Amino acid sequence: MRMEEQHGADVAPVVVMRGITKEFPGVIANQDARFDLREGEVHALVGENGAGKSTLMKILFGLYTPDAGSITVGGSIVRIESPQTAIDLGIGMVHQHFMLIPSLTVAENISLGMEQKRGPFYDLDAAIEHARQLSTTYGLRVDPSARIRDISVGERQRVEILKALGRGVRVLILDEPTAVLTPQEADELFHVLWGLVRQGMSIVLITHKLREVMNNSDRVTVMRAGQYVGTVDTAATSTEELARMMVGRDILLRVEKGAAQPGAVVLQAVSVTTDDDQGLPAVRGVSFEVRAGEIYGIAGVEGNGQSELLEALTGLRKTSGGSILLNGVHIERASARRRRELGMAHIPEDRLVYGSSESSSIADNAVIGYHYHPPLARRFWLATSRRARWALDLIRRFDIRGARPEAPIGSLSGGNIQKLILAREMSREPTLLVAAQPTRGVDIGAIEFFHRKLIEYRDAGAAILLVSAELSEVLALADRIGVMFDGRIVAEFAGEEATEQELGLAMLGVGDARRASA
Amino acid sequence: MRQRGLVAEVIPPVLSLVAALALSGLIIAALGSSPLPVYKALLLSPFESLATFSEVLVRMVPLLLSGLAVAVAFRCGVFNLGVEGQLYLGAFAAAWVGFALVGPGIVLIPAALLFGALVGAVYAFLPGVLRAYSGASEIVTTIMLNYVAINLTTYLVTGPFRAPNAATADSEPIAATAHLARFLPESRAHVGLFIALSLAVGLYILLYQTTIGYELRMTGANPRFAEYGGISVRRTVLIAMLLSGVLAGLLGAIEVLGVQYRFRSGFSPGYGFDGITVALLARVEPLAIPFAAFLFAVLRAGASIAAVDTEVSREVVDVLQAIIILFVTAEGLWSFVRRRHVVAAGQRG
Repeated sequence: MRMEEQHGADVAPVVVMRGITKEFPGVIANQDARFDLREGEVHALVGENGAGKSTLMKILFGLYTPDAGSITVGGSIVRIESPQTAIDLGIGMVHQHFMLIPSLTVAENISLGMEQKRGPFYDLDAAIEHARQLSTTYGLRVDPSARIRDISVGERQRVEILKALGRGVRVLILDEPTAVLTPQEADELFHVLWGLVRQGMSIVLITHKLREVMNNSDRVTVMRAGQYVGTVDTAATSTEELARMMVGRDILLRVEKGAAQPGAVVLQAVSVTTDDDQGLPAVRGVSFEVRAGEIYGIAGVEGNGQSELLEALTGLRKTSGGSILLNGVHIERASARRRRELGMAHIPEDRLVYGSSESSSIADNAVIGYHYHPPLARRFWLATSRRARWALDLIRRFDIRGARPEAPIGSLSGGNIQKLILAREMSREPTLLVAAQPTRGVDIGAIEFFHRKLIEYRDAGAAILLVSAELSEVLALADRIGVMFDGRIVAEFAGEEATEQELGLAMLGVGDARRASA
Repeated sequence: MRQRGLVAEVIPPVLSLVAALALSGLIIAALGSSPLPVYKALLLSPFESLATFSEVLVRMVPLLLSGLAVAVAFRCGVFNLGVEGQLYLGAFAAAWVGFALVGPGIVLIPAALLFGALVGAVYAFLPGVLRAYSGASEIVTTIMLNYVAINLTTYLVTGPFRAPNAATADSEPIAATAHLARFLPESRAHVGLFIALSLAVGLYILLYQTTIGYELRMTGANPRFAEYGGISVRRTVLIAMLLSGVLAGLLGAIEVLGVQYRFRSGFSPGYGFDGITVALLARVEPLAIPFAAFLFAVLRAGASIAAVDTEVSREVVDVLQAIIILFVTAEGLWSFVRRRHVVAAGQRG
């Protein structure tokens, strides 16, 4: 019926999202975002981490309620207040982190929450039969009586999909489904997904792997910085175009800077390897060096090992091989405190998780890392009044408006929290400043301020390692640029001679003459 | 938290108290009695004579120390539900010094207190190590270790250390020189109160004026932030558990030296668990804990009097007391949970 309302060969949209806005404390996750899903398509939703794609889909699945905007499902406007509402509307989601009970069997997990009863008892046979039926209907192979803890990650994912299908969903959202899969498992997953589409299912594929998108979708919607960039037919686009849309060209930041005066090597990484939280190799042998008086930028599509590399460099993650030298001293086994004492400072990627303690006071936040040192402490005693003055001094010098030392840092905006973190990390004049996504989610004015500070600091002779998802930021600031792809630095460029085109291609791991032997 | 101003800090618990009293009054009226005499017995009679008031002070000491023991762990994000077990071992250790050794009070008392504190600390260290190095939930291990400690001490005073002529499972009495001095005539109020009060001040100074206290608070507020800032979360968690155990051990020791004068099996009516309520009532702020412990002690003493002096039964008084505590702590618990929730939300976002 809805078919007739459409023009020509167009297929009816099953889901329409318009003007979706969602703000979290200090961060705008979605701003006027939109999304359309047609019946019987695989629709890829791409964008870098933090672009807001997961948030948008969690809104559709009822995990978050939007601050503004409308959602239409099957032609009528709906309010989706919980995942249960979403499932009732035929929308299911498979999360990046599976929500299964390890000690229960596949069949028990699938029937969880809709158990069949025989008399007062749970009917295990019916559950197994149900799981078997689902498994054959949709062609997803699982052993209904196996326990979740005994089966592989790929199988667990199939159980998650079956769990959704068992609840009669017609729209299936998959959040980064291949992140945990081997290439063979990923191929099999896509085979299954296309089978579902042939049966009339509509699928949303959240991902940042562009090759996957090119081979396995009908249409692609790109998001950047919480906003909708555009929707294109997969057949009519290319990885290059998608990359351009993802990374963005319109915010070209001009930064006044002179030529770098590189001095001695400050940070030297030699064949560093480390694993991610799942224990899979994330950094596969990275070597580079950062000299005094230069900014070394690391570019790359997020999820290619940059976060893990930074954590390994700053002492928050164990390395599995290689060595790291700071001013000639081996630090690969040193504690985070020791690294600070040797002159390293770190602006972490996630300012609310690592960079600050929201409920603690600004003064408490302003001193961490240096809280046990004179002038902030003498032996075991905190120098309370000096600490307050210290915090006030940082607030004044970095122009953090509305900040009082005794107020909780959570009362500040995201940009001002970030300013305080920058102020703290620069306050002890480190020889190496590691800055991860320093301007993510902060307003334009603050971005300029950060850039100016970083350049000033470089000119004062510090070594700066900058990792940013904003290609324009890396291009504007970095004197040398390393491109990370799949856990390796695949290319290295001098800042002034790198072009966006070349960087973009290297970021996708495709053809580049200057491939570094990392 | 501390910046909200005194009025904003004090009004919510007072409102909770009023609401709890109103609800309790309804229950008593429904049972066919007049609520007013019960209110009077519960809240005012403890202040009527020096004798009743000094009993409040006696009851307050273990509640105060237990509140501090729970609070120091809470502030580090650790839940020490094993104060009960730690205080039993601390009490036995102090009693052993008291009955096995002889000497002047100036030697015996510090020795007993120190030994009690040490044993309590060691016993809290176990679940601390398990938590820090194997991730075993201290909530589970500390509760389980309570049974071990309570039953072990009962065994010790029914078996090897049983007083020869005692009818009950008690140790021998401690040396008279080891008794803590009493400071009010004709009452059991003892100087342990001043030790406990100075420990509250000490904990405040530790938390807010020392580097260890800072590391403890940051670990409790956001462990990943602490780790990033070069604080060893493992070490800090261990320190918090040790301090908690020291306070629990001292609690036991002070009860023995100040009130019991021997180790009695099963002497604690659940001080270790009351400490959780006291700490939450005080919003986990060391300087508020003496007041919370005092309020709690008044209610406890008032309940005994109400059961004797009014027509309502002991059980009803217990219900009233529970309602009051529930209302007042629910408010404190709520703000504590809200703070932790904010941190958790930040970590998800």
